Amino acid sequence: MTWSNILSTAKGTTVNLMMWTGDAFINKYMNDFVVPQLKSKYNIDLKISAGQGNQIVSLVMNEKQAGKQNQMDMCWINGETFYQLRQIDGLYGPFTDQLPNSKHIDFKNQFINTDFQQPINGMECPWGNVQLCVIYDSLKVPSPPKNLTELAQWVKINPEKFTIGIDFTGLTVLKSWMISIAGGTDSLKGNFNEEKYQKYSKQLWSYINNTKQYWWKEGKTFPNAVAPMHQMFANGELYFTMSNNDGDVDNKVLQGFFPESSRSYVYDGGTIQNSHYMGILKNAENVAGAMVVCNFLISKEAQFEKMKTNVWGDGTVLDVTTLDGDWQQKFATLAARKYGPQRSQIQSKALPEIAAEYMIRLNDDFRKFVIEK
Amino acid sequence: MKNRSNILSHSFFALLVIAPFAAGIIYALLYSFGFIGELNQEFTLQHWKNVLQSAEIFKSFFFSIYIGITSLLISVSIAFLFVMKRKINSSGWMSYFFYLPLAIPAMVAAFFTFQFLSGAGFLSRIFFQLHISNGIDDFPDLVNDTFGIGIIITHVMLALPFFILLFRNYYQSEKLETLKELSLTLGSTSSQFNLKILIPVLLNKTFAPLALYFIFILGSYEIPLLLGQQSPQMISVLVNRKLSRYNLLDIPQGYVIAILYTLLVMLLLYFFIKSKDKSHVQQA
Repeated sequence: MTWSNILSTAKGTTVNLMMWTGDAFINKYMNDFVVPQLKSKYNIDLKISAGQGNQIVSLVMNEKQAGKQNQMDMCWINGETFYQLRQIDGLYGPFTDQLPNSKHIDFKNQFINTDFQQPINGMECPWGNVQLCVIYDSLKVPSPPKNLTELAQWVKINPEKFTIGIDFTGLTVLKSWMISIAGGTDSLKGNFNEEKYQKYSKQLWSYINNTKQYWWKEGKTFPNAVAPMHQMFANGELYFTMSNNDGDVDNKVLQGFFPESSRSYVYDGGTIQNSHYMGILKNAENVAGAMVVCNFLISKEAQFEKMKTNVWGDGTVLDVTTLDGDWQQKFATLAARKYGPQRSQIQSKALPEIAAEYMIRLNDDFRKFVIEK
Repeated sequence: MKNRSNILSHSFFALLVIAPFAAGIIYALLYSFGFIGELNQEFTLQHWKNVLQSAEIFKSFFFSIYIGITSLLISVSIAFLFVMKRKINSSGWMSYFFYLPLAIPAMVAAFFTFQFLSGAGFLSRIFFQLHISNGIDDFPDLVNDTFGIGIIITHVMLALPFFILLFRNYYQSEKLETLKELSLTLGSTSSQFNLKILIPVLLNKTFAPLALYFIFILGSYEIPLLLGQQSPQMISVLVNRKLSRYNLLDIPQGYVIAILYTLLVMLLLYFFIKSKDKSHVQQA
């Protein structure tokens, strides 16, 4: 089907999108910018419903078993959901080559073309690119720990003020630490390796178990999401929180949620940088509509708006050098971050995502060897 | 004619209540044995073995039972105290205070407890202002704690008004006030009346709702989700985790736990009904 055919098929239709709706700024961007723009430009009604990772996978699995078409046309996913949806053959594609705006996507970038060590091969459309950052209060922590050794010393002096979540962000921290323990950037590159996992995860659990008595609630329990961690950071119960988005600290200070003394940084050993994507479901009713939505989301206008700190602060997936001069300048002059590090400062410490099985095993074993120990 | 309408109502009940429940159980059984499921290949006992060999499931069952019994004991004891002291007027504007918690959704109640009792919560701030505590670290762990204190407090908060109203109604319908006057006239003390007459009568009359409330607490989800620890988790939280975490191969284990939970509840109901029948026979 040609793009003009896709456009005419999509016109006047409704597209159902399932996405995480836990951030007021992201919701505002979608509802106040994306939805009206899609309506006025393409006469598409975008209906957003709340749901993420496992909920999407469960929905697709159940619908597949029932032999029904998907209620959802597209979904916002990241690596582990991509892996799971591929496991159950739940994604439509490849389709990104058909999107006219995809010519500006930075597909040469390994942090964009590979998702949890799996080449995306056109099966999901890059939407944003972020790097894990540790957020701290500079008034309470003038000199934050830069590596695991310093962190162990810091928690001893400041008990109960540090923890990690057991959600996606917490697992990204664990992965970053394990890569660091294993020797850095390429140490866990490639497919899942049982031997390496056993060796380095053991060291990771040993590190955590030796220090967790100084963590929040003596390491007996852990927050189950990033939202309660942010809340505890905001009210002073924790001195650190974490975010998968390196622009998040600016965003949260602007919301008035974090104090102005908040700053963010990455460990010397690096933190994981990854992209998040839009996937179209295999049995979607409105594939054409979903493709038009994807194409709009990767347009320079939509990416530019999304990157503004006071809108969302999400990194672009576009190779800005392929845009015309005016747009290059516009992206270059986007307000610099005030509270978080500039992307250029932390790019050298960006670690690639490791195979999805590492995350699944870390999730299971963190419970087995740390929580239940 | 009466017979026909009886058959109709029984069929309607079976269709509306039993059939969907039975279908769910059958689906869970088939899933747990590997007959259906996107990633299941063939019949297997492995999922059952994995669950039964893990200490996690037993801890979770014991923790749920502990929370259920403790919450029920505390709320029933306090409700008895209220009824004994006869301080509750279940009519008039004051009664709204007792009906209000009944209308609060579990998630809202859990959130309220979190905001009130957490380290940086309302109570901790008052204690700090009054110089009773030195700050967040000095305030005791009342939410996400080892003993499930936050969970128990929230369940007691939600259950207490229900039990007070329940006991109060039976107090009136069983004419316990008259019995009390009679027993006092015959020379007994208030405590003797409470222990020998009031408590046994009320417990006997409210046995069924108490048992059902215990099962309700056993299966609660939102309150332990927000206020509980990561381990042990209450049954519903554990099942949901197994069904929806990153490892898709854990899904059949979620169904195994759900089946075991259903069996436990059915077993409890069986004993409740049996003991109820026994007490009826004894009374007759």
